[in-house]
Amino acid sequence: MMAMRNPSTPSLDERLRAARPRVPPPPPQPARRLQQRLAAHPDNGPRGFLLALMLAMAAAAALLAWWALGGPQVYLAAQLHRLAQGVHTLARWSAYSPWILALMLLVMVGATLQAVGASWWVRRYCQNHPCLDKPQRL
Amino acid sequence: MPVSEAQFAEWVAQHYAAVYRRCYYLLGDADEADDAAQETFLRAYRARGRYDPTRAVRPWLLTIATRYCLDRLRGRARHRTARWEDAPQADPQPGPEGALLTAEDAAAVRDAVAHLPPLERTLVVLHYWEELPYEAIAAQTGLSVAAVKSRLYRARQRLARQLAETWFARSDTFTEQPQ
Repeated sequence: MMAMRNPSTPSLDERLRAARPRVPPPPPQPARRLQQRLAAHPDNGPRGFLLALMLAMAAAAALLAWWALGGPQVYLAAQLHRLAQGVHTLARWSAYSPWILALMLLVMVGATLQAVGASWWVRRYCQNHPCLDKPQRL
Repeated sequence: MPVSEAQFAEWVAQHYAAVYRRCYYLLGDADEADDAAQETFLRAYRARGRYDPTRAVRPWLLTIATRYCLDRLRGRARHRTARWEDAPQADPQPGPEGALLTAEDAAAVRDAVAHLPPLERTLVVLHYWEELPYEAIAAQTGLSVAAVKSRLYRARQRLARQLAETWFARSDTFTEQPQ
């Protein structure tokens, strides 16, 4: 059976509307305070962009120098060799038991999830931190 | 055409009160609301190059304010819950609903709203206190109209449960007579 509401008692919607709080007056001279705030926190967008550009150029120069010195060939060969060794070892182990392969996959999936979770947490934690100049959402 | 400094100053003069009111409704604290209103205009100033002059400026500012306050509410969700203190008679017209609730009941309703999750709290404030249509709420919060309706429905259910508990507890207190 449906519960009947007493017509003399206000509904939830009416209560919510009636509970609207009174707004205290804002502090005076908002424009002046805003100017002070703008002076204290200048928009460092272009400067940040220039800094990022300079860092990227420096990194590109370092990579170029490394390439010129024969770095990538040696480095890539070493990494590929290591990877092949790892795959070979894994294959050898999984020949003993498929559970070893399953365990390895589980560890890899777990590590990925952990990395995703950590990045989510950092993003959430840092969201309102004043040290971060967040990009505009509009 | 870019927004000039003079035009922006005019925006501050014209819309500061509305932005401050929105921030106060959402955050529940006068100092925080002023800080959020300042931050809103700071962001609007930085983003003024992206302002579309064919659209009204107030909804644009209120959208920035709403999203900023929502971020702030989410950030402080685990720390504390600010409530709307009963300010001195600042609002000259309390409205026809004013007499519906006693001060204690109104405080209980506001307390329940303060304990809602940030997004539901925002939607309740925009719908019941700012009296915005669903479409405007959707535009300002970045949700779809259907999502706004379903979240509001869930918020109402949660509020009804919480208020029923509060009033039940209070009626117990009143009916118990000391021996």
